Amino acid sequence: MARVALENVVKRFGRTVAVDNLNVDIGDGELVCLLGPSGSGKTTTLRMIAGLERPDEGRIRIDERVVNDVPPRDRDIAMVFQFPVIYPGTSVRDNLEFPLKQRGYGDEEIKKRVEEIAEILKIRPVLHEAASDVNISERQRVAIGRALVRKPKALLLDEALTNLESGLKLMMIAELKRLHEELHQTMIYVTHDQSEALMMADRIAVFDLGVLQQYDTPESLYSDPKNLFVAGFIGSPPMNFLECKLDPKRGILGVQDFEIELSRSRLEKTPSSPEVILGIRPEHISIHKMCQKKDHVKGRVDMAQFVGDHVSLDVELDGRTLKVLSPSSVEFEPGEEICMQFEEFRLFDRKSEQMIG
Amino acid sequence: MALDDVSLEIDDGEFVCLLGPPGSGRTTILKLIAGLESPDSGEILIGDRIMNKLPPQERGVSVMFESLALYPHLNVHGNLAFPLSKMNMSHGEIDENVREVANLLRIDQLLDRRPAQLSGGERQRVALGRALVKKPRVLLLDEPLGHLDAKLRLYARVEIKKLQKQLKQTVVMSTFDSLDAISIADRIALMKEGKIAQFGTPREIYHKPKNIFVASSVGSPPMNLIKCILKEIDRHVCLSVLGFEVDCTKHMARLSDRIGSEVTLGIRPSDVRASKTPPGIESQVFAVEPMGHEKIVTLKVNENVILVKTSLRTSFAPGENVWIQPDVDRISLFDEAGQSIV
Repeated sequence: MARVALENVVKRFGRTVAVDNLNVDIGDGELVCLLGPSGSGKTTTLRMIAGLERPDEGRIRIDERVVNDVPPRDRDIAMVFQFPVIYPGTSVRDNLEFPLKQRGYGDEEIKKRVEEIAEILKIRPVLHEAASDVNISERQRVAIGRALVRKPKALLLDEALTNLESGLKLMMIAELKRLHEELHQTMIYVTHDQSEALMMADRIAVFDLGVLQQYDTPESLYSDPKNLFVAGFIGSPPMNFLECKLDPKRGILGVQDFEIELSRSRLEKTPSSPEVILGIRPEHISIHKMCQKKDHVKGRVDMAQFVGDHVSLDVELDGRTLKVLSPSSVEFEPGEEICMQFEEFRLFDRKSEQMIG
Repeated sequence: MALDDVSLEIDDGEFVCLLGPPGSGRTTILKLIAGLESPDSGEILIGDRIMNKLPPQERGVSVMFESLALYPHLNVHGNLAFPLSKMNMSHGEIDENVREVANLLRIDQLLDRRPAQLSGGERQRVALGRALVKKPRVLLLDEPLGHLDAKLRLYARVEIKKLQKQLKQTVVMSTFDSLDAISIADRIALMKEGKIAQFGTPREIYHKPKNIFVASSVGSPPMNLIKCILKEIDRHVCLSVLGFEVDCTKHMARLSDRIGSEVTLGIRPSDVRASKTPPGIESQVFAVEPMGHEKIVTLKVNENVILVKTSLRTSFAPGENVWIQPDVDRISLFDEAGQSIV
C-alpha cells in the first residue's frame, strides 16, 4: 500500500493538452475516484499512474519514489478493466494463482494467499470452477482478486462496474467499499458516473477538459461546488441555473420578476458584475400550493413524474424550466400554478464561473 | 410458454409500460400487438376490431426498437419519409408530414444530416419521429432508452412523456428499468414468467405491491424484506422483527387471524427511522454511501442486511450501533406464499 502523488503533471497528444498541470495527492489507503465526462483527462491520468503513458512534464510519485521512468511491471500496481479479462480454459484458482507464479512465489505462500483473497471476495465455493462458467459478478470479483492477490501498492480500476445492471452495481459498490476498508488498500477508480463516485469515494477528483476542477470529499462537492462545471456535474437531476441580478445595497437578488432577500454575509466574494448565476438543486426547492411569503417564486407545473420517494417536477418560470424534487405525498397536475421557495442555493460569477456565495 | 393467459386493456391515449426482467414476456406482447407474432389462443383488439388475422402494416401500429435501426445512407429527411413512401402520398404531402413531425421533435434543423453526424439524443428523436410520422393509432416502444447514459435518460423520459400527452398518443413501452416505468407510465404491467404480476398506476405498484415479486421489482435501493412473527401482546397485535416488537394494532382487522404465523415485512429504505439510541431493532452500521442529498446506510442485524435512506445531516459511521424502527403506516406484510396481506 502506498501514497500516490502527481505533481505539475502535463500530458499532450499532438496539439491537444490531455492533462494540464495536474496536482493530486492520494493518501495511503485512500479510495479516490477520478470523475469527468469523456475526454476530460481522467483515463489518461490513470494510465500515467499505471505507466502506460509517460507525462510530458511533472512528476509521478509512488510513496517517495519518482516513477516517471519506471516501467509498468516494476511499479507494483494492479489494474482492473471494464470488461473483466479471464484467461480462457482455466479455473478460478488458476486465475488467482497466475500473478503469484509469474513472480516466483513458493507453493505454500501461493496457496495461503489465494485462499485468503478468495475468502475476502466470497469466491471460495467457485475456486475449482472454469472461470468462463461463473456469473458476471463472480467474474468481476475474480478479476479484482487477481489484481489484489499480490498485494499491490495501488489498485487501479477503469470503469470496472460501469457495465453491471443497477442492482448488481449497488451490491458491488458496497463490496468494493468493504474490501477497501478491510484491506486498507489504496484504490483509484475512474468513472464518468457521478453517482458511482459519490457512493464510493473518500475523495473525488473532478476533471473537465484536461483540468482538475475540484478535489474534495463527496459531501463538499455536493454542498460547496467551486464552479459551475462541478455544480452541474454532481447531483441527479442536476442543479438548476438561473440568471439573476444582484442588488448588494438592498441585499436583494432579482430572479425574473421576483425578489429574494439575501443577507449581506451571504457573499463570500465580490462578483465582477451584478449579473450573477443562481444555482439551486432540485431537492432544495420546496413547493407550496399557495403563495404566502413575499420571496416565493411563482411557476407553473409543466410535467410531474413519480419517481418513488419523490415526484420529479418540471416547473416553468418565464420560459425557463426548473427541475424540482418534491415529496411524493403531494400530487401535482400539469398546468397547475405553484409557488417555490428557494431553501438553499449558491451564487456564481457569470464571467469567471466561480462560486461566490 | 412465452405468455400465459394474459389479459390487458389499454385505454385510448394511455401510456402503459410493460416492466419485467428479460424473458418475462414483455417483448412478446409488443410483437403480438404489432402483428410480428400471432397468438396461439386469445384475441387482440385495437379499437373494437380483432387484429389476430391482420398483417402488421394494416394495424395502424408503429414500433421503435432499442437499436433505433436508422438507415445510415439516408439523411434525416429520408429516414422520416421512408415509412410514408409505401403509402399513396404525393411528394408534397410526404414533405409536409416530415416537416410537421420534425418540428414537433425539434429536429427540423437536422433534416440534411446523416445519422452518423447526430448525437445520441438526436438519433433517438429521429427514430421516434420515424415511428410517429404515419400517425399510428398505437405506438410501441421496445426499450427505447436502453442505450442512453444516465443524464440523457433523465431528459429523454420527460421528452417522451410530454410528447405523448401532447399528441394524446396511445403508447405501449417495454422496459427492464423500473425507474423508466414509474416515472413515465400512466399504468404499469409488471411481468413475471409470461404472466402479469400486477397492473396498476406507478403509485399503486410502489406503495401497494400485491406480492413480494412486485415489492422487490421497483425502487432503488429495493424494499427491505425481513422475516417476522405475528404475536399478540396485551391485546395488541405485534410484529416481532429481529427481536423487537412493532405495534401493528392499526392493521388488526387484517392480521387478527394470523397470530403466531410467519410473515415477511416489506419496508422501503426511506420508511425506516434510524437513531443512535433505543428503542428499536439493534443493528450495526456496515457501510454509508452518500448519494447527493441523502445517504444510503447499510445496516446488519446478525446475518440480515437492512438498507436505510437518511438525510445528509446524519452522521452514522461503520461499526457504530444504531436502533431502527419501521414506519408502521408504510409497512407491507406478505404471507408465506408471498402474497400481500397489508
